[in-house]
Amino acid sequence: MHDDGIDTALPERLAAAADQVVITPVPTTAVLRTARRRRNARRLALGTAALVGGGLVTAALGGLPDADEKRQPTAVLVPPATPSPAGPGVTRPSNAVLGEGTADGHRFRVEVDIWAAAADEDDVWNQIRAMYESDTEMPFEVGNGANHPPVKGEDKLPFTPGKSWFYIYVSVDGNPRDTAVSGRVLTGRNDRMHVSGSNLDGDGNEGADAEERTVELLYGYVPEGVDRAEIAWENGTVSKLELVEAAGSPGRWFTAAGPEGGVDPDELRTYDADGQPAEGHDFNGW
Amino acid sequence: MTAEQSERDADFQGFMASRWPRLLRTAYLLTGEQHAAEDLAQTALERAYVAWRRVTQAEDPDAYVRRILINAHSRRFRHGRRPELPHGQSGGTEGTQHTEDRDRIAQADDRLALLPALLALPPRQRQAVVLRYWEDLSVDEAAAAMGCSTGTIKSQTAKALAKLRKSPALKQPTVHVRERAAGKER
Repeated sequence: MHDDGIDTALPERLAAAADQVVITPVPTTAVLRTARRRRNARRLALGTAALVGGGLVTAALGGLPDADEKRQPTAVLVPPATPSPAGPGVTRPSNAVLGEGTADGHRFRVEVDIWAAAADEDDVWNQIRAMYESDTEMPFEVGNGANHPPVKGEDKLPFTPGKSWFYIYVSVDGNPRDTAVSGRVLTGRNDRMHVSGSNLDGDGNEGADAEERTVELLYGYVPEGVDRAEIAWENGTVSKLELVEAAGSPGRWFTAAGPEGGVDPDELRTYDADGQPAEGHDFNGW
Repeated sequence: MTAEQSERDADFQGFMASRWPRLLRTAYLLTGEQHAAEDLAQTALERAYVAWRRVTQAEDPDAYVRRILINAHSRRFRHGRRPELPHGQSGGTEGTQHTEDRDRIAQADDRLALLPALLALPPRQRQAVVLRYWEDLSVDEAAAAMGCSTGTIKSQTAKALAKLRKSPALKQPTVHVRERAAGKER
């Protein structure tokens, strides 16, 4: 039985909670100072990339940083694929490692599991049980019934058959992996790109130089038809992505790690087999 | 500084002044702590300044900046670290107050109880609740702010509400009717 009181009272209670914050004066000076510094650094890096590409020497511009000093994306290696049983199963997912690397002195690993679509209602119940027993998060369509996991005969069917699920995991220093993002594997005309990310900040960096060791980690998927892809970072560097197949999904998966210093991604570009640009993604406001 | 840059800065400063209180409140619900909220709101505005041309050209500049805020909040989620609850906020307390103070205390307890429960939610669920119930966004608008599908918004919201319902601190939610303008501050 649900307590609907929390739902109707929630806006009021959130407003009351929000009112606890002290509204300080607008930090105009600090915002403009930091933002201008950030904007100028970006222009400088992109400008340097253009000049280097054109082979120009910029003596007149004096203080431009040497292009070699521009921080490069963090290296990500994709290990050789491990032979696995044919396809993903309903009660046992396929697995593929998208990449491994080191950031801030800590090793990270990104992988994806694909669970095959249940063929019928019995399969759905078997899959839910298998997910629960393997400590896999329930698919987002599974509601909150009387039991966790839902039980056949007591709870309603958690989701309809025919749905395949993906889970991207990140683990650090060999620790148990965390679910980074999950969802349905879409096919056909619904097959489309998606990308998510998080910080790699293995030491829980604190202090004035905390940002200096932080690395942005991205992971995602490109649909069938994409032949190659790359991530452009805001400092002008580019990560060429190694696209990884995962049994049970039509497209391919990737991971990328940015340059140290918390450099944000700028754009994900994909190309078809003829080298023509395909669907891209602009990381506006990332 | 050119006249164009001066005008741009003046526009941005006007935007920042009018949006700061709202951004700060949203940031506070996401982070639960005064300084973290200020830092998050300030970061969002710094990024908005860098992208100011795109912000002003957007169909809904507030939605654009809200997306920047949510992204900045998401970036703060660190592997292996759990969000810390603010000190001193442990939910309701039993007291020996006079009857005439009971309503204020009950109200205070409600405010204190919700924030720890909210902060105990995973970041994405917390974002979904704040966007849907505090920012009063539609499912589509919340999906745009979080850069995800409407299905994900529905599921994250449903999971968050289920967790909030089970929170011991919120076992007996009460509704306090008080004078307050409905809707959103602009």
